Amino acid sequence: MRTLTLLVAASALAMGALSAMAADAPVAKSTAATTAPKYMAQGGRFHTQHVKKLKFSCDSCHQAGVQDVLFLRAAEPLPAGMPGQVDRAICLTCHQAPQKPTFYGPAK
Amino acid sequence: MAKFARVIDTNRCMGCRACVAACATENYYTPGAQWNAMVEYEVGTYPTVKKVFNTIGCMHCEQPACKAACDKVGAKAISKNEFGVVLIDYEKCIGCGYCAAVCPYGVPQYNSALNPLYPGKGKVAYETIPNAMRDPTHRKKVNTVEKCTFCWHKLKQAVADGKMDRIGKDQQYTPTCDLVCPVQARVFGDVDDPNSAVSKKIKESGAVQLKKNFGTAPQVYYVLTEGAKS
Amino acid sequence: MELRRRSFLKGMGALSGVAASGVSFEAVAQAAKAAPAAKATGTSQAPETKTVKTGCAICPNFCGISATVVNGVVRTIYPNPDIAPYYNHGICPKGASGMLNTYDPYRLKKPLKRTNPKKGPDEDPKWVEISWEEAFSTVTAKLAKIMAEDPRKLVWQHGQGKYLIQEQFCKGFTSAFGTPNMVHRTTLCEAARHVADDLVFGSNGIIPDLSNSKLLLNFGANYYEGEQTSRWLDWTTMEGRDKNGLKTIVVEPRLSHCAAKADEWVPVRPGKDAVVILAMAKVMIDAGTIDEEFLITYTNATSLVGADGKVLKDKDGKTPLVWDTATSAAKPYVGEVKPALKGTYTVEGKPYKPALQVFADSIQDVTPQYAEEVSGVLAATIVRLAQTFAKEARIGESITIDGQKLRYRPAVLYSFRGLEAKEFGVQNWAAGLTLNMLVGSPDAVGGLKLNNPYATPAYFDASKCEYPPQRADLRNSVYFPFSNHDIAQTPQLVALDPKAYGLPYVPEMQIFYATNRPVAAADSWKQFEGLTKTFNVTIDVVMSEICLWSDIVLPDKTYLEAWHFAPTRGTPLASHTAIRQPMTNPYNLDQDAFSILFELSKRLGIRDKFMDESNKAWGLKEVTFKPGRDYTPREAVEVIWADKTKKDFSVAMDQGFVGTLLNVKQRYLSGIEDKFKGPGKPKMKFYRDQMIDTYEKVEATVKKNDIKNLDLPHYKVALAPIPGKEHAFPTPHREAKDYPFYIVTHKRMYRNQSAFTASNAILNQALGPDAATNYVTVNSKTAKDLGIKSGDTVMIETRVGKVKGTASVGEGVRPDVIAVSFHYGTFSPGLAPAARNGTWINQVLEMHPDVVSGMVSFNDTKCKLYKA
Repeated sequence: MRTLTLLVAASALAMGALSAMAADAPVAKSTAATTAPKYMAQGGRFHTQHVKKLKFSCDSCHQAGVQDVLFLRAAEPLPAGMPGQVDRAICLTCHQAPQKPTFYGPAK
Repeated sequence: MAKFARVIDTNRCMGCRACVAACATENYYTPGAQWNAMVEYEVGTYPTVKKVFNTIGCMHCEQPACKAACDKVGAKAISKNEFGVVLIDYEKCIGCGYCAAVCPYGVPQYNSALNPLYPGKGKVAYETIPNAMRDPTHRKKVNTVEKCTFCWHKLKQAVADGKMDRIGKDQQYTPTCDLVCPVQARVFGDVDDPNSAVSKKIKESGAVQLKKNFGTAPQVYYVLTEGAKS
Repeated sequence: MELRRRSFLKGMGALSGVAASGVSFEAVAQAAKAAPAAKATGTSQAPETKTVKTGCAICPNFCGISATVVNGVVRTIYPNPDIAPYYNHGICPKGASGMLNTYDPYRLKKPLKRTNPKKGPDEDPKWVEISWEEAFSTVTAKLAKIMAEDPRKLVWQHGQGKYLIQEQFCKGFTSAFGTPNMVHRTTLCEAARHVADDLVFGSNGIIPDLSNSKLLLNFGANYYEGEQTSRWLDWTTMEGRDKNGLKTIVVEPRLSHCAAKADEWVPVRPGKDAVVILAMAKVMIDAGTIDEEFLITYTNATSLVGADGKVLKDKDGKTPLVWDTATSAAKPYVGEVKPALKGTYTVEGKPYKPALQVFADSIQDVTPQYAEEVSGVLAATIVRLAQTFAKEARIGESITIDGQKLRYRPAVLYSFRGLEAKEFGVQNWAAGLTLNMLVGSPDAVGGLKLNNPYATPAYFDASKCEYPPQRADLRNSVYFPFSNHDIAQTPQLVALDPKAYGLPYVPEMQIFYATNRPVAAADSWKQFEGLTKTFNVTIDVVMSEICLWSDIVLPDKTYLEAWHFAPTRGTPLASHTAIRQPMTNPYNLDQDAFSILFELSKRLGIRDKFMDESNKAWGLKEVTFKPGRDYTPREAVEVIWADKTKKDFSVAMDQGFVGTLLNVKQRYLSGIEDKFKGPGKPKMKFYRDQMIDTYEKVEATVKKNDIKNLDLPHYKVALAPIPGKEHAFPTPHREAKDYPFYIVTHKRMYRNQSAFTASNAILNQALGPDAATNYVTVNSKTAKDLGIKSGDTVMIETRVGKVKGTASVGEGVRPDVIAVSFHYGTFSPGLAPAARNGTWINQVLEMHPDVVSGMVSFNDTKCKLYKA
């Protein structure tokens, strides 16, 4: 399995939003986090491209200990079994101009 | 032409989240798909500690990664209009979630269920307003992605009313998050006009963009308080 | 897509302007497409939109708001843009989502009757919906019986209700009914602060003149997360910092949002602030950096005090004497007398010292080093704070505003619950007032503005120390001599054993209006116990916990549905008068608290008396309530508006308020400059001799009546004329030896009080998961020692009981302190499930009220902490 050298933004210990754990009273989960779109699910196209075709290991993207604070969805529950959220800086390696498919412009 | 931009002054932001609540009511919030969110974190170690309060909505980038991904998959549901506002067309969105995957800021919110505010209790408040009575950006759709629109429904009304000079000033023509702040930590307006409040604020305060290493050229600038991340 | 330009132009009205400004037709086309929904619905009906200017009533800030209603649905709530020069520039998340409380499907909609007579934490009331007729006749029957036998048996209690229909109508009703028992919540809020004010300047209410200040020394006020006048304080602090060089230093155990944004955070051990302040005073007095002229001119710091602690009086037995340095004699401070501030003098063979000397002597051993040991604040920091405070006060300087030369003292020590929500709350805030007096900041430009000084001269006299108590809350009785602002938590304790307090009657019925009293007090389960003794009626919007112990529950209207003559907060710069007006009624409620009271008064035959007493309570002079007629809520508000503003009611409905910018005289020359300045005038109480006189009365009353449940030595300490180091050692600190941690409580912005906003779906879901619940904030080093990580369930154990919470580990709290907010963990099944998230801390807090004011001690409890 191929692993990547990663561009990981330096992250000091930060207090991101915490998941809501009720104290004694049961918490009715009236607002389940929306489930992932099927293309992003583990068997979907995104993972097929990266894991099956490009042979990424899970933890090359889902890194433990990464706390990208400036990320709106940092509080989302982790996909089952994953140690951490995906720091989008990982994607820069392959998707920043001039690399294709290009999602990001040149760093300013 | 005008290009809309915003400045958020984290020196002033005191972390109340009025802007977050106001955005939610303005934009027909559905649980799980928050358009404006507070990121807060401590800086330093006891007893020399401060806290950074930093809200994030859509950056309305000049080179939006979300649009690039959406174009690439062929859905072409994301557009950036002549005022710089990046919008998602729910009718074209195929719900692949790639925009959410590539956005450096985690902005696009995938909505799989359109959950009610009070499960089992019927519709309340804005939930009772049918889609036909709503702006297209508020006609939420299952299995699509949604995000901050710079309150485009208000900005375009300013355009239609010939009141673009009142954007950022009048409540009906200003993004709601920018007008409820108790300490006026937010400025919104036309960054193409060097004399606008937002242009002046950027210049005088040295406000910066977050995560510039992604090269998306975001149009929301931040005055960074001591220790704040960028 | 072909754009049919002309039809667009016709339909959009001002489009020629649009075309001229060079806007693309694409944009216009989009706008036209979005215009609801002429095509879609097949009608040409634009939505009916109206803007309503009104006031928010969620918290005691009373921000001016502007709501937009679209086709009858309250769509948005923004700040009222016209009120910014007078009050709030923005609003908070609760206000912005306030309509959710109105649309809350869990709220009370119909009167309810309890059919299970047992009341207890595990009892299901077995509610039955009843008609308003049955509700009114049941309640009237109970009230009529009590009114005939002994009206004092009715105890009326309100909380936020004071700020809805307003206390004046509650007073009108209870006065007409004949009960003295109208009890507000102040001892759960700021009673000790008020009473310290009362004792020092004969009235209560303070606010920094912040737009002119250079230094704000904030001992535990947290307006970025709290309430009263907050939206003005928020704005003014930021403006002051950015434009006027304002520095803020926050002294408090937790990194509140105020501390997080301050120039410096000084983490003080809970309850020990008094020694920090006294040590600062010592540093300043020793260095001579005090405003001696202020002390002489405006305060009784020059009054001669004998060895017994009493002030030396003139032959009339009333006028205090000072030492006249001009004639070397003890004289009243009149004419050409030059009073001494220091020294020892002999009068008729006995030694006397000016009060300042007494104070200085009393703090000789409250050195910065001593204060460091006790408070955890470094001695060097204390010295620096004292020097900075004295320096920034610019003692002796003046400033000219609008041609008036005014005292300029732009350093102010401010506090809210931090100093006063304590067993020795009065003494702690008195210490804060003392430091302000030492630099001359009261009523100076940039200093501490005092509200209406000397409005109640009786506060300078000894308390009546009533026994037997006439009121069920024991207000102004021997038990709480200076509880000038009611005592919220005592009615339930008295109900449990009225004889123990000498109450000459047994409370039989309680009416609760917009209060969830037991949840909000300390040692809460004891409060609930008291509720089992009476027939209870609750008027509220939601099924709060107190409803569960009620016999009849009556639904009230929210502020978006009701007519109120609104309370407002003044600032140092402006005042305003406002109403609240209805804009919706989604659940078709017939009644609100006013109409309920009115109907009850009619059925009891006291309608005209109710309205007449309301005239008095409101202070109506020219336009008054008339006998012989009914009043709707709107009509009642119209009367008050007419009398108070002399303006047409259409002004109220169009604008929501009228505002006044205060002139220099109103801002700076109507307070102590008018009441206390110079020879021959009364003086602020730097030395509160009325406390000593009161203690003597307490002692005499206890002895005369053989009162067993009053701890005299404790009262002697609490009723000291000046603050001392003993006031930094509340009961839990002295007694709870095996409980190593201090608990501090605090507010958060995402909910208010206990039940009203707890079901708000926006607040619970849209603000982020960390707003949906609360946490036990633990210092990172402490957490490491205890093996606790963020997210772990921990147990907080006090001498009262145990409660669980979710740990949040970080740097923003002292290692020996845990911080838990209010507002969460409520248990009523009548609220939304999300309301119950989190920890309800009040139930494990020890109850040691400040015996001076009755204030509940929210910040004195000690605990054990461990992983659950």
